[in-house]
Amino acid sequence: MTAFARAMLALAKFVAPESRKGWIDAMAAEFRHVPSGQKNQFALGAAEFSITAMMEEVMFNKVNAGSFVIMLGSAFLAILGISNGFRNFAQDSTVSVAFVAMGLLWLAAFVAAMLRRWELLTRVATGGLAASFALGLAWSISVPALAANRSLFGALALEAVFLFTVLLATGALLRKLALSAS
Amino acid sequence: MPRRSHTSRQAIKLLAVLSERSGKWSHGYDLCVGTGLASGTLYPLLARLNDHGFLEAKWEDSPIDGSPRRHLYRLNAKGRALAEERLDEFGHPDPAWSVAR
Repeated sequence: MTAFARAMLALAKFVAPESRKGWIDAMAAEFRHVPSGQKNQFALGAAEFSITAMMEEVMFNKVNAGSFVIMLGSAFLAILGISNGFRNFAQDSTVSVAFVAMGLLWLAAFVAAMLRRWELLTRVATGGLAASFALGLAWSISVPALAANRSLFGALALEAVFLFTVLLATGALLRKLALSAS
Repeated sequence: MPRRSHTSRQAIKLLAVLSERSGKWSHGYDLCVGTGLASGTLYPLLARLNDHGFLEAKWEDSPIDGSPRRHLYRLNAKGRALAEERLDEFGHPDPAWSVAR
């Protein structure tokens, strides 16, 4: 056995998650029957299998943690948006509509994260980003309907652009992780 | 819609080789040679087939020549049905197989 093959097998055994340890043992046993010219490649395959399996486990845990954080954040923003919307209804219906619309988008993000529909989550985030940009544009060209609460709409648009960008990036990452783990 | 499993070219190759050996136990290295797949590709596929209940795996009872025990693999009935389904759908990776069939 070459030093390289020995190192690869040791690495494979060390890194393998519990669920794949039996498979690495099987590869180590099989290794003894592999012709000498193929041993390095075979041992490298064991290390590759082990590292990939370990990464998949880590990714699966990250997906779980990621979806939980998104659910928590989305639920908070949905409640905040919708309750703010209803609270402001008597004073300014435009403010109310903007808050409720944002709240509903966050509610959709919550549902998508809960169902782990990452494709849907990224679509919600893209929709939210488009809506935030539209609000920002309306604010920047001083649309008359926003005149009464101009600074509030400016802040709301800026905050929403930031939050939906974060949601879009996180959703896309989780989708990628979930795909590679499946 | 959930992703369908065992539809990659490598998985089809492995299913084809395992189903050709109908019921006979195979060693990992033999499967590497038979499929042309590297060990780093073959073993994860075997592990997934096993996870999904398509594969039987066991340690060799007693090697004749006194060499170390090896792990053996074969498709079970569910695995053979999967192999047949996938090979019908995607075709056999070796075109000569379809002609000879």
